[in-house]
Amino acid sequence: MFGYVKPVVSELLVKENEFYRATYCGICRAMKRHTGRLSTVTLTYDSVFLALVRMAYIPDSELSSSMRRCIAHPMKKKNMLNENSAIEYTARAFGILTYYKMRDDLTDERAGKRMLLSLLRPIASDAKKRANLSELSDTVRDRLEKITEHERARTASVDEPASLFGELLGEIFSFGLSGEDKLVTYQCGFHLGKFIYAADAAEDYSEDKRLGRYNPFIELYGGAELTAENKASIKCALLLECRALEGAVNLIPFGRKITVENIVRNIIYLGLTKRIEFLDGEDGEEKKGQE
Amino acid sequence: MMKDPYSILGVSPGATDEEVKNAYRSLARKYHPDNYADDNPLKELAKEKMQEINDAYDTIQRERRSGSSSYSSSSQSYGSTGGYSTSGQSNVYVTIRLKINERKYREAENMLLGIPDAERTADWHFLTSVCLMQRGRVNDAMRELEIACSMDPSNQEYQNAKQMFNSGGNNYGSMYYGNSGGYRRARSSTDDACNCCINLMWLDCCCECMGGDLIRCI
Repeated sequence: MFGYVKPVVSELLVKENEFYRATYCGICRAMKRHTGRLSTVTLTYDSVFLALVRMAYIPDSELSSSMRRCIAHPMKKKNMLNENSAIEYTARAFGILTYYKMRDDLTDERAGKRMLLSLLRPIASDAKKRANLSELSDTVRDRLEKITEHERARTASVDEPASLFGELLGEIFSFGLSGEDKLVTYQCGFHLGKFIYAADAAEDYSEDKRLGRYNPFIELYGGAELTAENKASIKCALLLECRALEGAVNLIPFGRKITVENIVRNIIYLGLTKRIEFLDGEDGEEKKGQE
Repeated sequence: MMKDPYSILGVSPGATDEEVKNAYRSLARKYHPDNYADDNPLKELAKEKMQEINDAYDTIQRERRSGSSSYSSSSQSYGSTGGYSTSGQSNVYVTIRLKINERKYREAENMLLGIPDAERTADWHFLTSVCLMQRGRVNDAMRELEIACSMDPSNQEYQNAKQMFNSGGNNYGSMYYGNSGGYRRARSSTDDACNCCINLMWLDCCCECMGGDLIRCI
């Protein structure tokens, strides 16, 4: 859905990569059960991050996997995480998010994509109903509606709409938890959401300009080609968001779930920064990791 | 002490002094309150965690060899406060700077908002930027800082802040990808203390360039 929240696979240990894939398959299986078989076509790798964060809050004993076959890979059995509460929640929450995101996109995407989306809509709608988390569903709708208001008003600020999207993800990450856990996961979702919104807007800058769509950076920079300096300051703000996200992740009690923690850190350190490499100017090759 | 200090640091009671120290350091780096902006709701929680591991580490140190602990004062290491210079400013901005010094960002921001458009100087934009930053509105903060710099390009204070701001994200990911060879190995490496310095909040960079003293923070 966002395409931002993925690990850099080459930097994962083999067992971490395996766990990551098993989690993805586990979510897919859970979606089949809780939001409908067809809804699995809307599943993306972004959902795994939510599942990993929520896994920190379940007992170690609930993390088990088994070899299973699925329709997508009928020839070979695959390692899949057995369903646990973190995975089940992720499946339901993504059902809701996909529905509203799709409903949103239907109004502002181009014709071709719109047609594709309208085909998927009944599936997403059904998934949302089955997800059966009406409270969360209302929150998601509310935040997306507020973002739409900013789009209509053409707000010349990134932080305002981005914070709303942050709140949306914050609610999703923290739903059903309480106290300290809620606080930490909320912040985790909040900063990830802000990051995604701003990175997305930066990336769509030229396209949005061409199509006359709302984009906070166009409102701010007037629609001219972004200079290297503009890009550098956008990138800097994004990295500060990453820092805040790191602060939240530091407080997640992963305990002995080192594999889970390492994947999460790979995603926030390497995955997210890789995703915003498009903002690098000529000096992009500096970031090779070696001093 | 309600909890076993060893389990707080995540090591076994049989761990060597070195292992205990490394475990403590990597946790201290995680929970260091300087990683959190003042308005960040997680700051208090991080402080509690920091206190917890400080206590645990002190307890273990005391148990193992009485008195000779070099880390007993570690809990003071994050009591940082930056100073904001107040020289040569017109009155209202002096007051606002004092508010910022006292970390009363909301009050400072309200005072700033009370200044009519026509009277908003470069300093107004600069101080607004500082306040916005505290609220995590980094993009807006950056805009204001850019306006301040363009209104008064010769002002060294603004330029320094901008430079600090721009370098704020530079070391991001160093914990995973730093010169010690990666997050996993960094846990047992001996240069954790260095990384800890690197990880000092970008916010304090702001304080520093405005007349505060970074060394004091460390």
